[in-house]
Amino acid sequence: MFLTRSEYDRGVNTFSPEGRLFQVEYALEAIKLGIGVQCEEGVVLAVEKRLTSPLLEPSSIQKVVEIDYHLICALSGLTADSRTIIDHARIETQNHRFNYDEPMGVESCVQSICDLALRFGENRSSGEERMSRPFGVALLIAGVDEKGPSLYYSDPSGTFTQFNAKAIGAGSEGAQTTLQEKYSKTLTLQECQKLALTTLKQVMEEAITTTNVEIAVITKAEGKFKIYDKEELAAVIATLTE
Amino acid sequence: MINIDFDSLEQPTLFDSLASDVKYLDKPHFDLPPNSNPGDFLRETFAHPNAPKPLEFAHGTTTLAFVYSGGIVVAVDSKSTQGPYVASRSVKKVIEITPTLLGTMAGGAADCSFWERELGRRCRLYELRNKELISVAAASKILANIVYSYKGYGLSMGTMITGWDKTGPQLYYVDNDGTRLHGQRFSCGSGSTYAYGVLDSGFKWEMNDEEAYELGRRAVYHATHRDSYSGGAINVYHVQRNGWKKISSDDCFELYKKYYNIAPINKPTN
Amino acid sequence: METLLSFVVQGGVLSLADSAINHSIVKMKDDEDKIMEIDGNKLLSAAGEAGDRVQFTEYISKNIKLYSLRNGYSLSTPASANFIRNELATSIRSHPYQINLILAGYDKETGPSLYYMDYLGSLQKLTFACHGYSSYFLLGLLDRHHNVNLTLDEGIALMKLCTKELNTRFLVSGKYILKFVSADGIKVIPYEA
Repeated sequence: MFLTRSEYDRGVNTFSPEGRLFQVEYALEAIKLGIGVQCEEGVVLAVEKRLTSPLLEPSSIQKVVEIDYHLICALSGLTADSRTIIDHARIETQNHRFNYDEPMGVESCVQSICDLALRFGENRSSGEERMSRPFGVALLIAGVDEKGPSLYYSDPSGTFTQFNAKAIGAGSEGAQTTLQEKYSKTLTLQECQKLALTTLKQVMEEAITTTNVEIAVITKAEGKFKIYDKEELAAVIATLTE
Repeated sequence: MINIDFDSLEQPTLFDSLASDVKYLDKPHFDLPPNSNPGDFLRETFAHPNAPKPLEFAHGTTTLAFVYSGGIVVAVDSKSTQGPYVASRSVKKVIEITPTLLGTMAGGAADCSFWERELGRRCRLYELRNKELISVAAASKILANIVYSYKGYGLSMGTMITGWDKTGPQLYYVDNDGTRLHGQRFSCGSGSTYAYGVLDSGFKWEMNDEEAYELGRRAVYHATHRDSYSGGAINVYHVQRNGWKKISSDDCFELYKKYYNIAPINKPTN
Repeated sequence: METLLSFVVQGGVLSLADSAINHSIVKMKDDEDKIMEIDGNKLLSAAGEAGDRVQFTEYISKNIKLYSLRNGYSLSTPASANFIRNELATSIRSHPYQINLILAGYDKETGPSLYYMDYLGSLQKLTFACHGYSSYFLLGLLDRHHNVNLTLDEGIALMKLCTKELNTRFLVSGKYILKFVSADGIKVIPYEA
């Protein structure tokens, strides 16, 4: 893939002769595994947490974060970069509530995140911020609005796409194939949850436990998200072995 | 008291440019009119002999809030006046800042609703960033600091900020000259003195909820009776451990009939 | 109609302030503490324009705290007084803080001291000081009865004499807060006027 990168991998302002931006592609490599599955009832996000050391406190790694009551986001990649993005999204959603007295639409929120992600390569002399490289995170954004539940994927290039089911990060090719085979629009939320977790399990190197995965669901009925605690995770993991 | 914003003249620092969002958040985003001192401008303009009539704010109001053993009761009237003209008899003078915080409106209706909405936005961002609810002390301080930074620009607000946080039920009074007071009983607006009379004399720490609602309602009712700028419906809210609840909304004329047991006047027979 | 009163006694300074917050004819509060405790050995009493008092005294106390964190030692009472005066004087032409102040402090090397400041930026080291309309009643009384060798108990008795005079002759009466700063730090003295 990188055989021809030569000097074209330094800047984000120059395409390679093959029409690629290497910095963006490198950023895409920095991504760990995450899965999102959407159905009529809502959306499920399941993410792997890599616990690099047994001394590491698992609760200090958070891979699913709240943007607003009706919007959550699973991150994979450089978590530090995601903080900037998440804070931006939170401010956008709150500004939207301030200005219009209604929750922000899911697509509008994703759009505003991607507007920020796209600002790399801009070269303003003053005033606006300057970004030296693209954000090294991919996001799965799940939310509910008046159109119902939806799942979006955004990558470091600032592109966003809507999916019924999406796997991102290392090993996602295999996971995406599994999702493609097993997904159907008639799945219930329970089945979505199981599908997300079994797919995650297949790709993960370690055995699945309550500490190395994070699950969050957002339902149309409640219009609110929920991140699973230890007991709820254990209950879901138990259903896998059945 | 002139705080002129020289921000546009200053070269942005690295910090500013890296965090335009944060910068936007730290300063209240509120465009100012193109005068060096809008306060002076308004005064001079309206002091002119053939100037238009000065702007009149909806000053007439009765709002009150008090802490008792069962939480906090907030009671307000709902009349809006512009001079002798009654603009509305159904104004929401209790502002629902967040699901756990309440604010009240006295003075300029636009100032109160604008800045308390802004306060709501900041409290929610605080909650998202710090993973815990903001304290009432901190929330009221945010508002006090905002209005203090606009001191002399003609803001008109008198508000009570209430909520139930880790330290229990809390009540703060914040007004447009930057005053921020912590207390047990506050009342604000042109009818406040009448309300204070009923509230102070009827107050006990130990009350059941119904007694407390009735005390708040009655205090505002008596203020609407004496203060012609207060009236309409009387709204009562209760701040509880898990957030606020709206208790009642009664027209003060209905309350008048109830409290004084007025029989309907018979139509004269021909 | 606010009252600030401080005087030096043996080994320390007594500071008294009224505790009322009035808005036009309404008493909004009667237990407000207008004597800010700074650094454990200074008392900054302030009275004046609503809003300015809290904003200014908090700004001052945070900066004095910052100084001690940066330098590893605290600002002395005279140094603090000059710092505060300078802040008042530099802001008078642009965004005046309309508050009058009394700074009372105790330093290990020099003992108790008291500084009088007004909103225009004047500064005077005194043995007793008073702000507000009550000074018309109290200055004469203090000229007559005060000296720096009073014991703490005699000092408290003199405070009582002052507030008694205010309650007999002064238009407004109310509750007060009394604090004492000495080598042992700051003490709040329960006070009934």
